[in-house]
Amino acid sequence: MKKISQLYSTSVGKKLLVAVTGAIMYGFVVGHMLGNLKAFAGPSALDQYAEMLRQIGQAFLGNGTFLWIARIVLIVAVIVHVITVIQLVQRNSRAKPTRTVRRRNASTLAAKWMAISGTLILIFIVVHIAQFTLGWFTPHAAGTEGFVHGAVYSNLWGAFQLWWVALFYVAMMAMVCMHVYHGAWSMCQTLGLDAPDRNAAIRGAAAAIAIALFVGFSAVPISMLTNSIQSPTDDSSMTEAFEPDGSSESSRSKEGAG
Amino acid sequence: MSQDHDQKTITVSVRVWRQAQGEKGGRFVEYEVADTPLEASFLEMLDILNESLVEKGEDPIAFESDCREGICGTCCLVVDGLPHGPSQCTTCQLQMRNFEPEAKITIEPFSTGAFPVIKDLIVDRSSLDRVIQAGGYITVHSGPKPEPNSVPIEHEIMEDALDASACIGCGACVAACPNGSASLFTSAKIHHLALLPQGQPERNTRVKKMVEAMDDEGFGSCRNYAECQASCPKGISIKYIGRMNSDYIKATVLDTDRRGSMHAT
Repeated sequence: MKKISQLYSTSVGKKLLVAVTGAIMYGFVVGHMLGNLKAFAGPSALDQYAEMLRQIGQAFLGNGTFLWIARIVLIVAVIVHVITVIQLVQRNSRAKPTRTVRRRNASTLAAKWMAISGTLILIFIVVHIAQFTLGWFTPHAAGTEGFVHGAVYSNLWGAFQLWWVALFYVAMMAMVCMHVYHGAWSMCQTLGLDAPDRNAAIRGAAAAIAIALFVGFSAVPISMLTNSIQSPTDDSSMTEAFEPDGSSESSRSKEGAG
Repeated sequence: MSQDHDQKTITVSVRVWRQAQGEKGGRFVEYEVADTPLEASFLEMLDILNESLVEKGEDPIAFESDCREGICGTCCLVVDGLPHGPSQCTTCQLQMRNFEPEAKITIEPFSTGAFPVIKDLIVDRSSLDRVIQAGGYITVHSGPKPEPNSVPIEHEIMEDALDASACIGCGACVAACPNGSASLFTSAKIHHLALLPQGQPERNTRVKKMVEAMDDEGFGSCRNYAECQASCPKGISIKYIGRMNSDYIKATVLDTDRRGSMHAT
């Protein structure tokens, strides 16, 4: 505890906390993206996957306990990350040049936009949890099912039939992509893992993972908006040609969604 | 660059930050400097301007310089918004032939949160000295010294330490940093000692004290923009910042202080 407070008292130590909490969230985001790809295996595959997440460690912790541990760790990580960054920003605004100094274009756009992308991601996290976890804010296209707890695929489908919801998600994923590109490299530098002989590889890996996250996350909203994957109502008919109008009719007649 | 070969002089107009000693604010004053020889350095152009100001009975522009050979780190001007000007060298190594005829040049001090302006273009950079005082030294015993070659140092490591020791402490890294961070300076000063055998006994206490001193002086934190590296007249790499971070973490988290903290009290 003394060491943590000692670390927290200096800017380098604060940056270490930002890097470690960032790494926790980075791990979560990569896992979340890979989990989302279950959508391409069909509605029931995604819903079963979501149910499986609740059941991790069920044998010794009981249902949903592990999920709550993970949630608490992530919430604490977000809070520590944001508060520490705000403190660093306050320090930096006191220390910054008092006259306008031009940049030599050494910094990337991602680096310059860290505060913007970070703030937007924070807003996005709130909206995203309110929309798909809590079901407080559930815009959905006319003719689709409303929000049903546990009906993950159908909930996504209803929301992403709306172009502006899909656009918001894709735009926010671009922010995540930028934030984690600078964040991942910056984390390596802060933890002192960076070295000239590894720098190119670390930068390359940071860029590759950031792009993979953008593509992986955007795939679901875009393919749902363009009706290029299954509608939630024809789970078993993978081979059948899909007609959006017909499926809206049938989903209206059904109660709940699989 | 597109100078006429026959032309031997250049006329420029400069916008200079003037700030009276002891005052908070300042203002830009424009001067025309006519017929400066092309072979003049940028600081010599300011000397010529100052001579004319003294002749007119005006207060000359206060700016710092010493060796004018690019090795002492005293000169510190922000030229057209760039610390040390458009070329990657110290301000004194900037030449008038680098400018177009009739150029309008803006000259400002290296002023940041930790570098308050003293007068005109002179800033107080003693904050950097205090970071050095906190731990940028090695403790040697008095009495007979060992034969230097009895301590072998691998060539690559020696070169690495020499690269770090190239820092002349001009403060361009601080002036270039959007956060006014002295991380590049501090990490270079830590690592030209930490890489060598002589720097090992105080390695952990050094990094802790210097990082703490850097914070106490009000420098900002590093956000890995790498602007410092691009502005450093000695081309010092940000790899030293990464090493400073890892050394600091090792010293604090692992707390492996080998000989205990030494206080000269």
